[in-house]
Amino acid sequence: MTMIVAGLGCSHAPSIAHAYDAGATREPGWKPLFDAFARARRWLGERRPDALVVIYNDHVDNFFFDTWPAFAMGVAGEYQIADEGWGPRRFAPVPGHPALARHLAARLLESGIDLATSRRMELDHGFLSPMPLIDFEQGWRAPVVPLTINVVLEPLPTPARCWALGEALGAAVASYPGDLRVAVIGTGGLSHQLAGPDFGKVFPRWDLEFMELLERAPQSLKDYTMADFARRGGEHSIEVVQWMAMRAALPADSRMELKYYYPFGLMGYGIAGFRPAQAD
Amino acid sequence: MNQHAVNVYEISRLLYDLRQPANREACRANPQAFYRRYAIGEDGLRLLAGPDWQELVDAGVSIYLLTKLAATLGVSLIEVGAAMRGMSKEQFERFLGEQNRRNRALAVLPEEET
Repeated sequence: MTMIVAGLGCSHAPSIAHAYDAGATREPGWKPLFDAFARARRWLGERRPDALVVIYNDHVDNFFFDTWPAFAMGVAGEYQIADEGWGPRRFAPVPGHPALARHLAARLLESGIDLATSRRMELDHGFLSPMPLIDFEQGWRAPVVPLTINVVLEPLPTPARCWALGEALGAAVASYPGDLRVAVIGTGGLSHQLAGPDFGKVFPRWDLEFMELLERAPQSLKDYTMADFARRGGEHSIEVVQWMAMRAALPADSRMELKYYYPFGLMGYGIAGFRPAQAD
Repeated sequence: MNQHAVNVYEISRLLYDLRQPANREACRANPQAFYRRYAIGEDGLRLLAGPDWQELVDAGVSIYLLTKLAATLGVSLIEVGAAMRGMSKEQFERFLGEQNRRNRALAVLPEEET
């Protein structure tokens, strides 16, 4: 039986990519974060996933304002690395899992989630800043299904709708034929504010409260609006809906096994790992 | 998007095109000539000539697009942030250092990896 064997929420940011590419992962400021990612990588490896569904948001690197889907799933065989303005990072194209992706997209549409599909998606730092830290070993370890949520071009989907996406995704994964072990990753956040007089302000108390809610009362997050998230964690922290969708995809009785938090520089960086009770 | 004062769509298109190395080169070689390829009007030219980062955001331009201009011009995100706060780079770095120290007690971290 195909099942979700792990859920992981983690931050994404150009800063993570830049520190990694500059070989700064052992510098005093950055080491705590990269140590936490190393733990997450081992933890995810022990869950032995065959495929990863990665829920993230694009930052106007793939999508543009001509058309921006609320939700979009990649159904391609592989994904190229985006050039965000600094040149593409030196990673091989990421292998996709088109059979799983097509199945998931069809089931999601049947269950009332009207998502777009894409046969050519370039992956930006929303995907690529954390993924080499948690699923790369000489090459990419597991094929992926990228799934984006629009947090850029208003109007945005509501957090409750992002939760519904996650719930439907969980059911869609469980209905995939065979015995695939699937991990669901949600990237983004936590607190950051990248405009105005509060540029660079971090909101650690809210970040910790958010992770606590995600662990103990995740459904309560459905009552928040995007504006609520922006007020509590800064305008750009609304990316936490990707963590919500990840959590919603997992069985309710999943346990948080991993929790790290590092407020540093412009961001509150977080990592949280969930294990479904039934998953061996 | 706010369309009444500045052509945000067209400015966004210009910034989106900076994903291509040839456009970044053209922009670096002669910014004004590159900007004039787009129908961004005199207001758009004025905002980009600074660049006035905060006014661009206020007009409705996404920070995620402005980072492409910053990357092209060799301006760091810290410098963009300092400009938006009305601070020097040094002042903003001092603020961030103080914030790091203040928040450190709230970190939840694993044992150090060797």
